[in-house]
Amino acid sequence: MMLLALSSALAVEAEVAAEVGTLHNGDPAYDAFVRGNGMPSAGLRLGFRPRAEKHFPVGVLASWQHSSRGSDVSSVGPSYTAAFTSDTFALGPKVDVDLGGVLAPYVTAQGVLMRGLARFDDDRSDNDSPGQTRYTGVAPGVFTMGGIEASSPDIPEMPLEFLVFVEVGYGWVAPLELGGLGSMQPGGVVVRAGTGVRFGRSGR
Amino acid sequence: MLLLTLLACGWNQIPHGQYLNEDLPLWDAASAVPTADGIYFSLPRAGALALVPRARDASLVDLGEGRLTLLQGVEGTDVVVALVERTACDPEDERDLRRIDTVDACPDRYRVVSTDVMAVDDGAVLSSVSIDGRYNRLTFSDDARFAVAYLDFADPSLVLQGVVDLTSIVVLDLTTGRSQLVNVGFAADRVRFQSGPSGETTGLVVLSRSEVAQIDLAAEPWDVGTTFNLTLDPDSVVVPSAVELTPDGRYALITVDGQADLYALDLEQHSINLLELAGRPSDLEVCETGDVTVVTYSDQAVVEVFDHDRFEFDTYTLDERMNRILEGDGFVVLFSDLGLKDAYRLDLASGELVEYRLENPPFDMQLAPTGEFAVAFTRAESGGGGTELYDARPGMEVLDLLGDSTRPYLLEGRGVGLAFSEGDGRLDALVLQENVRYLYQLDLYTGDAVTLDLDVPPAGIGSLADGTFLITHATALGGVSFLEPSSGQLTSRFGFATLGLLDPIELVEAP
Repeated sequence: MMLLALSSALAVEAEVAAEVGTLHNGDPAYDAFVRGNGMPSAGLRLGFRPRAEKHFPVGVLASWQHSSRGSDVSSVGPSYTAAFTSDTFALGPKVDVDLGGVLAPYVTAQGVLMRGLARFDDDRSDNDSPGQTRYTGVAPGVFTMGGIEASSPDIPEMPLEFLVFVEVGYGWVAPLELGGLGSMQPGGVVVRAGTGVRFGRSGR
Repeated sequence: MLLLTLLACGWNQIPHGQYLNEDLPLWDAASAVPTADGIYFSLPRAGALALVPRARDASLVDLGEGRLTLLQGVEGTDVVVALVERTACDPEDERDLRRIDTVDACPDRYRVVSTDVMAVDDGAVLSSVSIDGRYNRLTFSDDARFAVAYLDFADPSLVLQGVVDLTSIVVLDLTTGRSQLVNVGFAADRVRFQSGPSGETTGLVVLSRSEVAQIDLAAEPWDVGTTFNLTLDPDSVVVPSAVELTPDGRYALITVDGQADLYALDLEQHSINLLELAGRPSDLEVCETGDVTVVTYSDQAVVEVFDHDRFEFDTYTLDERMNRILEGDGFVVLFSDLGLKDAYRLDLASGELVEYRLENPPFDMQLAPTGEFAVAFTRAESGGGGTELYDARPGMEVLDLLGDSTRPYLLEGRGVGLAFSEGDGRLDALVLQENVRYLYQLDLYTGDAVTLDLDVPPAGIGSLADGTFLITHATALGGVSFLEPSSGQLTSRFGFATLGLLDPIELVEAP
């Protein structure tokens, strides 16, 4: 509703989408938390572009992705739980080509800010177990992606339209310094897909 | 709504979808070295060294690129010595090096390992000496100036790779950084330092298979001055079981497996005296007070004491065989861990022998630092005699060494740890029992006792020089508590074992 109001007030196209994705993390440091090199995530994407008589090819995307993975780790002696959580905030332009009002291939380059949180707990059953340890860090990065978006056909009576998209690209993040724990550098192939709604489409 | 849903789903719960099994633990509680600066711990997974102070957060000691393989305290100082294994990668094709920057990424066959012996004080490296190859044992001189690195084949964790020299040790001068390989004989594994009149280290005695080597540390280069052959028959092998030096450093007293003889090596006159003992020795203690040596036997109910001047023996008859000796100031305490219940206090000046009868057989005993008490852990035993309740349970007995009485205690679990604290007119013993969450603190003067309940089960105990008790906890992420015995104040530090966990061990340049 807020987006709808914003869209009307500012005369912009606005979209909101729920998305899932994954970012490659080949850093061996990630093995301390899970096996496998993927950081699956879920989050939200917002998009804006000026409303015009005809399709305006440049917009802005802003997104937040949350990733959280962990393991129970056993070794000599007692076991513990290790988990790594990240929140990735991205902002950048998107350039697309309108193909018949239904399909729109696009490219985007986004500046990224990733907040990482490493957590350790030797007793998950106790919320206040003294061994709980946390390390946080923030690192900048850049994602470049290309994708394709499909929209529902234009129905004049409808104030919004539905959209789905999938995008693939490469993500680079600076080493994430996690205090005394050490550092980790996620990065590599990034894949995202999502579905959402758009308000105030150009041409209406 | 979305936020509420996420909170309801346990947004803040720590995720734990997988199960991982790691070869190495995050920390090694048994490696604890207490100093005035804090407690040093080895972190095996990170290959690092952590310092956990009482009043500050824990931190890593910067040892450079390498893996900590051994940590030892130097007695009487706040210095710890760390053995750090450094690895270079030397592949056949140097272009491969561009893709290899950590030890884990370098194939085993290309690794070139060297070892640095580093002295650490107050969390900083004081000195470092490089030696070639791998070593798993260090011995230090009393003045902390010299160290000897050697291979201990009895260590089950010893992993040998490549060509290994079985006849050499490395002697290190920690003050100058000098190190030298010295050839001493096959499988050297016992080292004793000789001291001069003012306490300075003057020499080294090294036991190997059938040989004893003496090295003069005052001369350069360090080399074997005298070699004593324990047998003249090259077909027979003599395996020394123990070696002790007399307080003046003149004689090395050596017992040999399966023999009822004692080798007294005169390190000045370079001769060997063979002393005939009452039986096969089970323990030998050189006592500075009185300048005598005490010997017990596992097959004879006697204890023998001989002086270091004329090597004349005094023999004391006992009711039971004793096989362990604890040295006090001017006396020794004898006990047996062979299932017998007697213990003795022998005054070395007067020859007075006091017998104590324990309720259950001891398996371990320690002397309190004041020498007024000895505390024994006893095991449960079958049988009766009217004390079935006591016999069926593990116990603890306090021996009053100023008198002849004992105070027995029943324990809930087997005694596995004992530490003493002396000060403020108190003499406290802290007792750790197997599979028991609390600690038992006993004032040995008054008999007053308190139990100390802990949030995290204890794993080990010890004490610092200032009388503070040290408690390590059974937790994977690292846990240690400092207990002030008179006030009961407990200061804990947890979670330090994750320090440096994500830092890879990088390669050093190939020599």
